[in-house]
Amino acid sequence: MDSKELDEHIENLYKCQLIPENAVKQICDLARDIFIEEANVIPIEPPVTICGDVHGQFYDLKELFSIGGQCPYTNYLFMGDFVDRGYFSVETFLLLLALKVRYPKRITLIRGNHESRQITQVYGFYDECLKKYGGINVWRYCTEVFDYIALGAMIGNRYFCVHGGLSPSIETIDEIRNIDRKQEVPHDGPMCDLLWSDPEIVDGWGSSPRGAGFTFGGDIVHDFCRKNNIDMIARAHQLIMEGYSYMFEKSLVTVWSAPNYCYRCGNQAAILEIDENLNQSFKVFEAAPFEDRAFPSKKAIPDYFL
Amino acid sequence: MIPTQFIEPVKKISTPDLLNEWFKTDAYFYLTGFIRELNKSVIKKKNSDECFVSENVLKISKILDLMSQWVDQIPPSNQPRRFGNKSFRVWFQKLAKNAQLLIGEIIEEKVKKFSIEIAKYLIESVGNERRIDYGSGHELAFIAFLFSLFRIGFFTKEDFQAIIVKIFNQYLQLMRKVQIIYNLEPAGSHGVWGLDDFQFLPYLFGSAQLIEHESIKPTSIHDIKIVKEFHQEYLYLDAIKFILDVKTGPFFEHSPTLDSISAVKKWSKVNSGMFKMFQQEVLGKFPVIQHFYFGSLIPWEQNVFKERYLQEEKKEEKQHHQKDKKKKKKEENQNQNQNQNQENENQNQNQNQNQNQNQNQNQENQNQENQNQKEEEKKEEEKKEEEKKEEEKKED
Repeated sequence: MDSKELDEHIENLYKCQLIPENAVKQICDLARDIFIEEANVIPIEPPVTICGDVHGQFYDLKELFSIGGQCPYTNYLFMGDFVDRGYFSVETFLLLLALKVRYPKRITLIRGNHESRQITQVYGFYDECLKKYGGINVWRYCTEVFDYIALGAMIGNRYFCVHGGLSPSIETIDEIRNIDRKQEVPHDGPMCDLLWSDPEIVDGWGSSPRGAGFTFGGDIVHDFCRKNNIDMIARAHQLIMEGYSYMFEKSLVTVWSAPNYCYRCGNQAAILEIDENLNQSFKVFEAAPFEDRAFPSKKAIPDYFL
Repeated sequence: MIPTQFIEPVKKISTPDLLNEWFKTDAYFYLTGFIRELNKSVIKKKNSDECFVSENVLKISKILDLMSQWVDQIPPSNQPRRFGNKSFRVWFQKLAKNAQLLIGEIIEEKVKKFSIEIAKYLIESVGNERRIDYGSGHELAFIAFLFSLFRIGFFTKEDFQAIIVKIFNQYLQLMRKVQIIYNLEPAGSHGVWGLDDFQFLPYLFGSAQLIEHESIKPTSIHDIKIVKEFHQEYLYLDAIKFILDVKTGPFFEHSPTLDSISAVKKWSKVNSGMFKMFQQEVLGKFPVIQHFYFGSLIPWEQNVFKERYLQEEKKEEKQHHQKDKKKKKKEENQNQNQNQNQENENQNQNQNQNQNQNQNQNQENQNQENQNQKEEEKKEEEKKEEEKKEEEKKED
């Protein structure tokens, strides 16, 4: 695939149009070749804009780009959960993936707990691929790529970024660098925890009500920052009414980028801009106006009802 | 039959591979059977139709009233929050502290030992205290609560219609109030790929109510006048109305699954589809079912499955025995020098046929059972079959 072809696919994806299955395969293969060379914790030089969960809300992702600046003119870090729940996970993930292939140094993707075979079979991405492509090849290509996506990122050696949070089996970032990440998200262990854990007001480690990962308190975060000589952990994974929230004296921030989640939550979305001097500023945005969105009108009846 | 021993309720499905065990548990048979019977009891019945309401139904209704009053007494707090309101935890704790006592007061002395377990299902049914969220798994816990009361004889079959149109309906009203006031997160939502962010069963029972309705059709959910006029009579329309109240944007965009189901011609088809979908999407999905509790009234044991299997096995043995006799006569007449190994093979083939027949019967009987389960049963039967062959060889 030459860059002209790739640009055409990107253009179509920006219009929320599906690209042919063989193009999906090619883009997935190219993306995998890039991901495979990336470290588990990708070093990023600022400036960069940090984004949280997107969950297939394609038109809100376009809104995000119009507020944060277009790729490649703005550097982006997306902290996982590109797919599931929203109507356009396929278009959302493929656009981000195509941009990654086109501008590998301008956009960084790290893995969320939804970038998994098991979870996408429950929360929509599998059904979406089946419905939109009439088969599961696209789901298979995408989930194979999931296995190669990095687990974290480090901005200017000061901000550690991860989808979920910390793990009781990990003390240093070097230990994350040594994980063999090229696999389905396991049910437990350090890799699972990084993608599933949540911060909690209560100190120490706690069992997670999610059934995977752990909860970790401010003491754990402070220890981790000191030991690894970093200033802050940036993560996503939890819905925030205002789009972002600091915890533990700003040693942890949660960023959420899916506005009006599930069409009902009425929440704002946010992106966190880090400038070249590592200063932080947020941009908050609402769901894309209805006039800017387009939807296919007729949908097939689910098999259960035939 | 009421079990004799009390078992503290615990979670059992800790890994996805345990799903296949879950489909064979008594809990699975009981709950799917119970839901089917409840569903039957409200076919063509609207909420206000004449219906037998027992003292015990009223007692549970009173508990739900009380829970609703607690919501009024515990207003949402203004403290900074991530999403859900922390006052939910105060309300939740109020229930957690009082549930056992409330249940203990209304059930008979001889079954009082189960009050912890019954209370546990009720507590589990109102959402997750720590996450301040709610989903179809919690709704399932309410069914577990109702079933546990049925199992101890507190409810009888005569109560089923009232259980849905009075108690379950009241539970839905309560949970909608809780969802709104404490801003519960739809954490288990499948988004546009699911039916509804929070509930599932009002669509099952609600579609049963509307079977053969002369004017309200599945497509009527798009008629706002019909929804407004009849939502208090039918759980399905009430659930649609709630979605319209809380969601923003056009219906086909935020609820495409319900939108596409509205194109189904008959409510009976919607109803049977809902049951299949419930089995697959709620009972059959690890992220949902991993949080489910099992105890003495809703047991993890597999007695029903084993019993059914043993009955089939006995039937098989009988048939096998008869065929065996006939065969032997035939053989005596024909060829006495037949190779024993060959005979074995023939027997096994016959046995295969029998088993296939049985399997077919079995499948017809349980044609609504989950596919996974069917496969598992097949596998299990194949395994047993192999074991049997082995045994026969040994006997020879």
